[in-house]
Formats: sequence, structure tokens, C-alpha cells
Amino acid sequence: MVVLKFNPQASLIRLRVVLVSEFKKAAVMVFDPGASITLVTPQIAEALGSEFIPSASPMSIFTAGGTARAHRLQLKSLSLYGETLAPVDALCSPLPTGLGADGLLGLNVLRHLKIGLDFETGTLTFDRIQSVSPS
Amino acid sequence: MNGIIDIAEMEKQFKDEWLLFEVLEVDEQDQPLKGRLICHHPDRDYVHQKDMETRYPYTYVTYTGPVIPEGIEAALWSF
Repeated sequence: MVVLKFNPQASLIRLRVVLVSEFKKAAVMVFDPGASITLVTPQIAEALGSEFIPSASPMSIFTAGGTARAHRLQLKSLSLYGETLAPVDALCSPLPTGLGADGLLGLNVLRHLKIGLDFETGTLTFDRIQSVSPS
Repeated sequence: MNGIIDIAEMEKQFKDEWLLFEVLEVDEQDQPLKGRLICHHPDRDYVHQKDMETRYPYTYVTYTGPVIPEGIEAALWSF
């Protein structure tokens, strides 16, 4: 089981995620069960050497700021503190730089994990669920 | 910025900046431990340009400032 400490008073829970495409990047992403799919910023997508899925037209996404369009891409793998999923679908869309993060960790990743959140102790725990196939 | 340094220690030395490291040593979870600081700058796009110019095989980008400025709340979702 992975055990991480976080500040229970913080506005966001940020995690360090290792992303692999043509290049490998460790980036900070926001733990976001409100996102149905993982999202990375255009900067990280370009730095990874990720290409948009040619057959997939841009998708509409509903955000707090309204509807936007986002390209779909596939990461070779995404690792969260040693738990690796491969491949992983993601959308590419800008995020406010004030978030200090390069992506949102959405449900298509989080549903592979058994997650515990303890705001009393500021502890996030997770284990891999073996029976769910990668997205 | 050529020396191999402890990444966590280096993160403490910069305030409100984006940092770009070339990762040279990782822990058992493949998390960055040591590396070289490639650049640091308040502007995310500047750091991205450096990342694209240098193209190291494994890099780490992080931000050392407050996550959400005072007076602002975040509501994030995409679906």
C-alpha cells in the first residue's frame, strides 16, 4: 500500500506522477475525482512527444468555466508512486497556471485504485485494484 | 546549474517559481531524487521552452509557489 501525506487544509491535493510517451516526465497533477478523464496541459503533452489520436476528433469537455474542446491522446504509461497503468487515455487542455499543476488525475486512472483519504491525519493511501483493465 | 543535487532540497530554495530538472536518480517508485536543475522561472511557458530546447530523456517539472492564491477557490472537472 502506498501512503502519502498531504496538507488537509490545502485547496488541492497535488500528486507527483510519472508520465511516459516518447519522453518521460515527472509532473505535478491534481487529484481530481470530479474529472471523468485524466487531463494534461499542452506543455506537458508536447514535452512528452505525445501525438493526438488522429482518428479521434476533438472532444467537448464541460469545465467549471464552460464548455471547451480538447484533443485526445494516449500515454504509453502513467505511474503513481510505483503503481503503473499502461496505456492511459488523456485529454489535452490548458489549465490555469495558478494551479501549479500540469494535469488532472481523473477517474479513468483513479478507478484502478482502492483509495483512502483521511483528512484528520492528512493521509492518502492507495492500492491497485487488480481486476479493472486499463483504459 | 551543472551539479547533481538533491531535488527536494532544491525545491525549498526557490519561491513561487517553476523548476525544471533533468532526473538522474530515482527511488524505488521511480520518483525523482537527484538531478540537475535546468532552469527556474516564474513563467511556465519559459520553462517549457527550455524543456523543448534541451530534450533530456527524463525531466521533472514542478511549481514551488502557493497552489491557490488567497481569495481564489478551485472547482475543477472535465467530462
